[in-house]
Amino acid sequence: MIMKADGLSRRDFLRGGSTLALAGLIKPGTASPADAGAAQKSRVVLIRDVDVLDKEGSPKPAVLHEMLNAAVAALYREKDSRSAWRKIVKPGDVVGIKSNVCRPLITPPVLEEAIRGEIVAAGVKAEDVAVDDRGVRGNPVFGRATALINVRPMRTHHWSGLGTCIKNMIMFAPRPPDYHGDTCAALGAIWKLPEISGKVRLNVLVMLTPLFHSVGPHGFSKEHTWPYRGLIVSADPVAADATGARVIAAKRKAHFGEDRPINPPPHHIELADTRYGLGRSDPAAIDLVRLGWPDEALI
Amino acid sequence: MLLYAVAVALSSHGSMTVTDPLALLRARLPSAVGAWTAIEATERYDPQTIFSYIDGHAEVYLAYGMQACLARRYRPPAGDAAIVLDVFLMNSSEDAYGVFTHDRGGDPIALGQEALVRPNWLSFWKGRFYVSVYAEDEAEGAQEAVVGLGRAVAGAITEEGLRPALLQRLPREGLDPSSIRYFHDRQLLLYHVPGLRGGPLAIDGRRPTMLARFHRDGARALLLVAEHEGPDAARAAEIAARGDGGFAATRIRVLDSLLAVVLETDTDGLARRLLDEIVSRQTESEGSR
Repeated sequence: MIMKADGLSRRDFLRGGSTLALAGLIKPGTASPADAGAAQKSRVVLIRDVDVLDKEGSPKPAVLHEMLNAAVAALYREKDSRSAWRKIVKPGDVVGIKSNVCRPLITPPVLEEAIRGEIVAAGVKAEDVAVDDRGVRGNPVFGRATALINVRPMRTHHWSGLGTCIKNMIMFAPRPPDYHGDTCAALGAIWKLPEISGKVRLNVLVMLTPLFHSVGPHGFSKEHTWPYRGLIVSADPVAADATGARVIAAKRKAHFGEDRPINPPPHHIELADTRYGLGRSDPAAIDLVRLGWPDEALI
Repeated sequence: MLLYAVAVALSSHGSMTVTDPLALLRARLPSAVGAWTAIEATERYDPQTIFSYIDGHAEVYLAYGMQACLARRYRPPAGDAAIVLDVFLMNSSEDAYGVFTHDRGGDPIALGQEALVRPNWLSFWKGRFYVSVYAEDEAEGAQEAVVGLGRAVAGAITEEGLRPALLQRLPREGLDPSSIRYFHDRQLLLYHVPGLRGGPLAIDGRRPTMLARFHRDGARALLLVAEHEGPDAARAAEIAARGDGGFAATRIRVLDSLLAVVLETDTDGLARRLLDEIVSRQTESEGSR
């Protein structure tokens, strides 16, 4: 079952806050979850619950919501999730929840609703919160958004190697195919767009039933998903994606019985770090907090 | 190459209207297969909208010059697990063949011009069409329905198309047919040969390119042949590849506009024989004109 998150002192919090702000991930004046004890590291929470999926493999709303809140509390070192959400958003914010609707591995609607509910509970007006994917460029709430929450499932991807939190923002681009060159090397540049830059407060990489190998006409095959039953949560999209990529790589090795690198290599994650300064991809620069079900975690 | 007749029909006003091949085929698609019936409107996607239908794989179809895609779902009497039919109209029959070669897992089956069947998934190409039929779940009778739908669609496609001319350049002895890949996109080259990442840019995959594996007497080799704009371009690519990739004379050859490179080999002897045979096949081809 889920473990309780540790608390974070205000002093610790302030010490850790500057790093991500410098990296452009956190809007100035916005709370940061960077680890005070390792100021140069990005904090990532990996939370898993063995009970989150029902017999059909669908997420149980209450369990998933509990996982989300425990992860957010741990990320911000708060004792309760409500305090953590209030550091992510505040009254007066206009919040866009960037989802992913690509079938069949979509962002679970129950997770979207959990996030929406927590944002409203933190004081944001209900009419100032919207969930969207394909329509973000025309969505009036997204158009005036002061904050974004980025939530999508992890999957292998034929062109970028992996479908990641970094990649999830491609729908903000006027012409998404412009970012497909060199196996989507330039995805990090999207985060410099004014619609996104400095606005993304939280990234949730859904690892409930990730896709670790792409075959088939749509690059999806159910037999290459597995019930990992996890969420990866971070303010740093690069650190979240890099952590998820390690899980996928480990799963591929376990499944195939040999090193079978993700193909094409998802180098947009590392380049988002080294070329675009979006966050940290090196595991040594990531403070990974593990919560919940520990079995078969792979990393 | 076969020419594809542009379908012309009379509208209700008696004027001439041009119908595209996919629209014609759409009218011939079956409304049911076994217990599965088409209960949703057929959707059509173009190169701009295909991303709203396929995530993570649409780029593959675009790299083969996808012009349009028809998608139709067939639902069983009970349950939600549909059989999904995707019909892709490609730029050319060579491209339809090419996208078919992208994933060659499965067992050959006599259907269309070439077909492969796996559990709950059938793919084939015919004319300018690449067709995929898959069942979302392993329902009873789904596999038979998948193949049956494939046969119906193949029967509805009246045209046949030519394979890429490069196929004729490949030596035959020891050729593994399931290894043949055809493309004209660098990312597809790197997908099939990840070891070339960071390798010689002269072998860029942007020209019509074919990959094939050979097994002879216990030795293996991977051969690439690429058609260039002309002899000068092929020679320039050869020189660049030798300098950048360090390919020895036994591993690379230019014949007119064709660049042939043995990317992997267990023995130099096998590499040399493969390249010699490409020359021989060219000579025979010229002699038979």
